[in-house]
Amino acid sequence: MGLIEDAAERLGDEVSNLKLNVKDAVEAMQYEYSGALYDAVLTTKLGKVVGWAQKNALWPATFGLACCAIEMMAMANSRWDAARFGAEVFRASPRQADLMIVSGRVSQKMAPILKQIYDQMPEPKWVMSMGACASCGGIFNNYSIVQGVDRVVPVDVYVPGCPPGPEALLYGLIKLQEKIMAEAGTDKAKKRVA
Amino acid sequence: MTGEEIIAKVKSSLPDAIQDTALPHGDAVVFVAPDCLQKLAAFLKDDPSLKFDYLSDVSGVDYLIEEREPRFEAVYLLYSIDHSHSIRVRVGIDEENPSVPTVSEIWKGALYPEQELFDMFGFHIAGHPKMERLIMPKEWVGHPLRKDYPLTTEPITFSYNRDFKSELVKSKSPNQE
Repeated sequence: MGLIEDAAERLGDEVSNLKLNVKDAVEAMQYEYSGALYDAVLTTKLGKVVGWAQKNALWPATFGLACCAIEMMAMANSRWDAARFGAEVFRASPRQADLMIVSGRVSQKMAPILKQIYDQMPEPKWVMSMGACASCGGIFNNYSIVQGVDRVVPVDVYVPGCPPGPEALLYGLIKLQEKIMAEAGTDKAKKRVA
Repeated sequence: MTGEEIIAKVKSSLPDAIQDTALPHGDAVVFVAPDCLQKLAAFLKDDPSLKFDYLSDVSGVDYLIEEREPRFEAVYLLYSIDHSHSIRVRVGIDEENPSVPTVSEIWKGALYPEQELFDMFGFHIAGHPKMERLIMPKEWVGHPLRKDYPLTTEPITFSYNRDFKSELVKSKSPNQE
């Protein structure tokens, strides 16, 4: 009988050893992966994430009005490369765009068309007024030109210049991104999406 | 043909229609009354030695500041492609009910310039098939190229000749509320 009891005692020791080993291994594993878990999960507000996504994928509508449009096209080209800021996809349809760059003077006859294009764009949408003419009428203080496009549509960013260079327009774009990020999560931004 | 020859030819052929002629810098200019315009135009195009087959432009003039009589003028610039000579036909138009007959039956290309003439100066083009605005919006009030139409629409804030310009702003355009 002594032989069997001895064997049972040894088995019991082995099992407790194994249990201890497993406990150590699990603890080590938990210790090892707890840091990784901490790095992998980011807590934020949903509105901020949405704003971040929106600001990095601004799709402008293809809408050139005057000489400013040449500079706008240069901004999209390889030299200045608006793709760095996620705004290179010029859409031919306002339904697919969320940024309208008013590039040039708006005549009285063009104003209703501009308003229609703005209305056709889905929310959220932003407007950049490019150059002196779009912002305030510029040198055209006469009957035929709308004295500032903000009389027709709400403007988020004004870019001064006659015409502003591509780098100025890019700066305006970065300012618009800052504005979107600052607005993200607020009631104003929620209203835009709704 | 030189300018003198063109004027002599037109004068001898249509002595009743021509009011006056001029030769500034060698260019042939004839003055004609509105009711004689179509007769003159048909002659200028059909005569084989003149053959003005190309209507370069139609424009209007407002002599309000010069206080000239009549106040308005329609100017037709004609060119002959075969003979490479040109003539300018000036039609004086009265201030009351300004009206001028169309030449679009003689030169088809006159349709749009005449429509513009109506849009910018308010001349009634008698016989024109489409008497409506061309450049300005359809519901526009007033004719912008008349000299009594206000030049500017906004008060000037920064200008080196602000006093002069603010005079221009005083009379508001009929489309501004």
